[in-house]
Amino acid sequence: FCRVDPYGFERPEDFDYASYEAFFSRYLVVLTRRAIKWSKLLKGNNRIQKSLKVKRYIRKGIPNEHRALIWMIVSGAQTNMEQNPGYYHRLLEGEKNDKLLEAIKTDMNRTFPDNVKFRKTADPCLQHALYNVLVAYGHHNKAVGYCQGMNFIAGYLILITKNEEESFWLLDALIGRILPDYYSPAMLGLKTDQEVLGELVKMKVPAVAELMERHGVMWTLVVSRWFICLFIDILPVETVLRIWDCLFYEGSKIIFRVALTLIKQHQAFILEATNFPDICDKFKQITKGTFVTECHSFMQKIFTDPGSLSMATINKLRETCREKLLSQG
Amino acid sequence: AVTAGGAGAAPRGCPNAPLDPDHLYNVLFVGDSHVGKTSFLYRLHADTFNPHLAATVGLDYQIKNLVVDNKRFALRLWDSAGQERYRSMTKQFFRKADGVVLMYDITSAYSFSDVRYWLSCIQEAAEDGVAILLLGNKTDCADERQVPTKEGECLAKEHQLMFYECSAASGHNVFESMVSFIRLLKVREDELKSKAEEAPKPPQKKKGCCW
Repeated sequence: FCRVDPYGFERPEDFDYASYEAFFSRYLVVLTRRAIKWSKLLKGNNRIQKSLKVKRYIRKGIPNEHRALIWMIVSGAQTNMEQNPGYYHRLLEGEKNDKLLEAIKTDMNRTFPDNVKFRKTADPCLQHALYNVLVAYGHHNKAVGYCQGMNFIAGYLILITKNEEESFWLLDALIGRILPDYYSPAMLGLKTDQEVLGELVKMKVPAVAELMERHGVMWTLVVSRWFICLFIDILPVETVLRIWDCLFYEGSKIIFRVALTLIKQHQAFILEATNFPDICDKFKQITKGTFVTECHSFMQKIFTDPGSLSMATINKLRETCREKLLSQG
Repeated sequence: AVTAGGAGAAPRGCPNAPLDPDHLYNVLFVGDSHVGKTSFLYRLHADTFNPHLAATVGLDYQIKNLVVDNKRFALRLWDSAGQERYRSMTKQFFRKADGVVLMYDITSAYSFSDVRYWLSCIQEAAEDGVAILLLGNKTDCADERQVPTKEGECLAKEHQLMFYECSAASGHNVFESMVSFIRLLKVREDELKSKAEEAPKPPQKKKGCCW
């Protein structure tokens, strides 16, 4: 294995090559099997309909060569792109909001400094594509504009699609439809979902909820980055992509499944914490190690470990948590 | 399996760093986006400048152990995203902080004018008597300076803040400002303690009903 991973990210100095190689040789078998299944499913015509079979296939992972296409189709981004030809380019040619451009520029050198493709010296340098996608999106969705965190998400989309316009429409699918109001100035959807996670932990892992409450650790302190960056820079790249496969098909519920799995799996470890900083530290630790690197078994676990999680439950919790936040001002 | 460690370990250049501190403070770093909060923390932690740091999203934290005046201090340093819309999230945390480091960039008049906004946030949400350090970062970029040292001093005086200019890039005043701030935090802690002792105890309720 090389110092730089297939997506351009430099591996950390303490990267455990031996155990990663052991994992990857096993995962390669899975990838090969899935690739054959997918090519049969697509039969070369690159069209799929949402179905239970497709959902099952997606949970088992979309092969890299089809990932961009499948994300585009199941998220509705493809349809929107086809119905609005030239729209993305018109956004880029239109009048610009200087304040927005300034905010985006500030983060250009600070988006994936550990990725060789985003270096100023790279050729092509993906910073240009990133800038365009964020500028176009900020002018398309003026209520959201630009929020730090979107740079990382757009960056991942560009790495996978290698296409600005597709990245734009996928970003629109995520921010406009799949995620409920995470990035608008009030960030109410984000705050709500952090509280919803707290309520779900109360139901499913009560000892951890009790620990958090006893030490006064607000959920936002330990999980804000999970939600805002959709696990980018929190979990390994391959695992994030597998999560996003399901996120595009099944929606924001997946984020709760991942979070609950991480917490439930490490319940005993978290409960060892005896004070506020310990708890924060545990929440950093549980996103590392073989449990999350082994993305295939991890994805199986997110659908079994947390138990049933209906959209009705989540919607109800979202409603009550939002009310509570609004009444607190 | 997950192993603990890392955050609590002794940092380099500080061999006597404590595992069992005498004093423990929560310090929150705030200030506009891109003024250098994360770089300052990186310098404090590793004593070098890392020009390749990612933008901070949400809240992040690290622990720094320091020995000052023969006493062992543990600082929990909370790093926050500077973008305006994250301020409402950061605000929730002001209440927990013993000290706040309010940073601006001396090459950005805009970041300095936002200091007043940040101060109002602190006053609104933090405990009374929270220690505040005003830090003007990036003194290494002297050619691009937009905020004279005098202006920082005046603002600090007006609001009774501790004030330093520093550079996370060169290391100028990074440790010095933190050591001074720790002394201030210690003074504030002692003041609070003696206040608590002075405070008259609530009168004891009479026991029984047939007295």
